[in-house]
Amino acid sequence: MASLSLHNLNKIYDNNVQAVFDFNLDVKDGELIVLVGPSGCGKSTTLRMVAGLEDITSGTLIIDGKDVTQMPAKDRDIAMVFQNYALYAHMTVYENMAFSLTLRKEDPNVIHEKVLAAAEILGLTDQLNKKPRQLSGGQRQRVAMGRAIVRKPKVFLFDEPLSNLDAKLRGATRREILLLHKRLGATMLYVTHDQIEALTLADRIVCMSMGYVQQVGTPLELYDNPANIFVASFIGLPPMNMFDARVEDERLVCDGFDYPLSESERALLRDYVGKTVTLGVRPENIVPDNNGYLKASVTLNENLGQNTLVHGTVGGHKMTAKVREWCNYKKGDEVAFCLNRVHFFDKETTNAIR
Amino acid sequence: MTNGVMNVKKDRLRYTKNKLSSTLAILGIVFDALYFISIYSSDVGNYFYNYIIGASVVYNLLFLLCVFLSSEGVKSYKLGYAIALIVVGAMQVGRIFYIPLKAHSSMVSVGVEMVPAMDGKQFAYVIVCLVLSAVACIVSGVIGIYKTRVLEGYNKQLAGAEA
Repeated sequence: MASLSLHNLNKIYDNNVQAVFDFNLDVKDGELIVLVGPSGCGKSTTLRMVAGLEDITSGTLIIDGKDVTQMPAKDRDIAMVFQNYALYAHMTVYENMAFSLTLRKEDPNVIHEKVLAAAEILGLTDQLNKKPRQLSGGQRQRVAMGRAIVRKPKVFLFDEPLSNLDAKLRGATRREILLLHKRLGATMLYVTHDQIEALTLADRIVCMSMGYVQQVGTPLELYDNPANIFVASFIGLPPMNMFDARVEDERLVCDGFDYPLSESERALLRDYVGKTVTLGVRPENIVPDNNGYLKASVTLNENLGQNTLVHGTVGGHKMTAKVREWCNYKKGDEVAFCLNRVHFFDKETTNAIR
Repeated sequence: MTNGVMNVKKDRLRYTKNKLSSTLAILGIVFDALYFISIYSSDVGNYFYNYIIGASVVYNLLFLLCVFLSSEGVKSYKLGYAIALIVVGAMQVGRIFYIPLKAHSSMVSVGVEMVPAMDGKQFAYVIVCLVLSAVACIVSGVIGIYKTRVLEGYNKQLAGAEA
């Protein structure tokens, strides 16, 4: 396994479209990094640059202390798992997993032992004589992972590997990847647009938008201390509620409610008195309270079993509260809430106020 | 060779195909094709123009079909196909004594001259092709039988160990 460093990586395509801007990241040995962001944010392009499938326009890529920026993909000693599995349909599972080692002309007995070991890890021992078409999507993806494992590469790259699976299988395979990472202790770079995958798998998350890195941090850091409005809205389901609010001495005046500022919050917003900021609050931090200052008109009540999503409007804003009990609000009901934990963002720069 | 390595080799048979036998069988087809392409190349009259051509064409088609199917069969360690390859290989040797040898020993008149229906050079070529085809088929079958027996024995050993 190896460390990985990306310094000022840029990607400009031939049509002058820049997909990635000054990407900087240091990945420690054995770390699982998830690149997350909406479609077109440059996460797959970054991964493909690391893999050597896309030329790096400028910047430096270092794997295990060695500059591989100009090195061809085959010499980088990395393995990539694709969304569409990319298995050879005419080969059995065994042959698919052994293929890369066969090309390297390794001893067949050694190949055999490596394939059996990988199959054991992935629970594929009974499937080795089957063709990919005889396997389920999850099993096919495991074969694709097995093909990567047998090579013992320095870095594993995953390009949205679970996107082709149904929800149940996705959850199961996600857990398998996590266990695999813990077992192999491998350095992994994982691309997804699914924030649940990002939050559950990552040691650290890189959140991207429009080709720029928005924030790098642990899942908890991104969830609890988002760097800007984009990260705050993207991470978390349902997304964070955002309200425009004018800062006054001891309160925030929002459209439809006033939020009382605590001592520390007043200190934080000292420079913003008289200005408008964005108030962000996660749905689970909006708590029903008979004496609450936020009075919302319910538009929809969604019971999810262990909690209820209460959608409503306050002032001109839509809002969603995640209530930890079974609720039966009707459309038009007036419900009072208070806010437990809030985030403030500069309205102009969209950055968090800290 | 240590027991461990030997067992790995046997275990590999469970997951890998018998490509050696299969390739040899295909090689048998290739040499047969070379033989068949050249066998009727003649400028010595109508020696070959009789029912023999039809019969040998039909036999050749059967040979191609049989060996092709057997090449797929031995790939999957099926004993019957390995035996079939040995039989067909032996019949290739038998073919030497039918058209090539008869044509080589028969004299036909070209103008005022009497010449063999198949000259020595062509005779040697077709014999080599048939022999190579026969050897490829027989060796393919023998290897097929050997590997199939080894695999069957290993599978029994595994089943015994599990029980």
